[in-house]
Amino acid sequence: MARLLSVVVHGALIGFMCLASPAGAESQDACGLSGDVVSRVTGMLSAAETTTYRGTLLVEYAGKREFVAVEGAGSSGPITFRHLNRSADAAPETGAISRLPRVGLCELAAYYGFASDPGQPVAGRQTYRLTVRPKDTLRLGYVMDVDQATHVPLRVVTLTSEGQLLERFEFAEFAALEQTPELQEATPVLKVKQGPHRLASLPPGFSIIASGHDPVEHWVLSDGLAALSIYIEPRPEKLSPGEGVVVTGATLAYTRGSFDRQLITVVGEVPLTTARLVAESVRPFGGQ
Amino acid sequence: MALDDSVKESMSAVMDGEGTSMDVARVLRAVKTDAAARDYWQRLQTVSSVMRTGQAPEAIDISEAVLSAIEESPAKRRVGPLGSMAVAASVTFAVVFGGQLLGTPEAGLPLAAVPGVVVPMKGVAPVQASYGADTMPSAIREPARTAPNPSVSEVYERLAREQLLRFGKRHAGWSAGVQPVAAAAYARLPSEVEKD
Repeated sequence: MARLLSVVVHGALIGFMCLASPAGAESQDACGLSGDVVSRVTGMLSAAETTTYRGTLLVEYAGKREFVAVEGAGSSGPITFRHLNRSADAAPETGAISRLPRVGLCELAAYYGFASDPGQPVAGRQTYRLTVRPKDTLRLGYVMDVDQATHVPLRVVTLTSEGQLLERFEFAEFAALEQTPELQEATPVLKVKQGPHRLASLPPGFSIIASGHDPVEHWVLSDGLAALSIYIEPRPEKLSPGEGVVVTGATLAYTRGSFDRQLITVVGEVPLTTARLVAESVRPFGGQ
Repeated sequence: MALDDSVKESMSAVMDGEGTSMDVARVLRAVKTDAAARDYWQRLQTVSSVMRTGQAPEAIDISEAVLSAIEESPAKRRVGPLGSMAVAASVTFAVVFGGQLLGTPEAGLPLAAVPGVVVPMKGVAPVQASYGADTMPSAIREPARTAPNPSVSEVYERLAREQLLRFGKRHAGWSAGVQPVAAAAYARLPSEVEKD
């Protein structure tokens, strides 16, 4: 009875929606974005490649809260980071940054909605707010307070498509350095080498940006804002088929032991649905 | 062709989170074969979205791509009943939610509105998205859905964590190249991460 009532209610609401829906949204500037939003999104994406900075980042995720000293040189990297709360006198670590081919704004706008508003001061600097909202549930969203002077995001809140908070980054102190990083050539889009496996399909908006076999067969996918990597190994004989997932802030690791004796791991800043779709698409090369 | 009431009933049940495996199977079959069913399905989601966000979404249909994924799914051929259910649930989720715009291109997500759209999600602890001092993201562990028994589930969760430690830094290098704050990709790395 309750289910029948639910059908009736849903049907009525659908009817209401049909009557209430506007005929169509007015188109705006490029890709449906206003000029202001276009310039700010473009500035933010460019700053990630060209701005060298030093600062202290407050990181909150998965019940943890810690400060990380960072120094980065745009996408030419490497980036130096030091977790200040993990051990006293922690030695700085370095991480490489793989500069990836830039995705066009219109391509991004097909899968993300962008909005710009006045921001709040962060680390003593004036910001504007960029809200990046996914248009489906296959990717995450971001609310960023972006430095007006350098266009570097100084505060970033990462959310699920339904507005659930996953993690927060915020610069407690931030200084742009005069040094201008040497721009590296973007990593070329690699042709997928013929290997033991292939990806039968990709989530909408994602494309393969890298692949390799070291240390194990892997691919890297990106939609321009999010990245995920897939690793394929033989499933140990003693390990039954199954799946497991851990989520650390925005990063998810999903491991699946398939019935055809493969161990597939997806690591990325994507929802579980996306990781599962990608793991599902792994096929033996030459198979169906 | 008019949509069968039993299909509508299953769709409503699935959307309300009360669907059985039979409902999921019925919905998948209907969405796969009947354009009217897909249309009704999307309109249901439109209603759901409006009720959650107060905004009328604009349709974008990826159901063809997802159906293609279903067609090619090895689970269809090889996995047992539990695995099939999990795949069905996953793909259903993608069909239901993955193909829907959650706002108009310029609609954005006003931060002031964020606390109002916190939605419970299986395996995660809802928190409000605001900059207040007491809104730190909670630990999130999503339970595996296909594990035939708890021990396998625990093994895979532990394995996923080990794989994150093993591949995390490698992935961070790629992620840093696209994320808004490159430093974030490394800042969130677990402390036991592998040393390359």
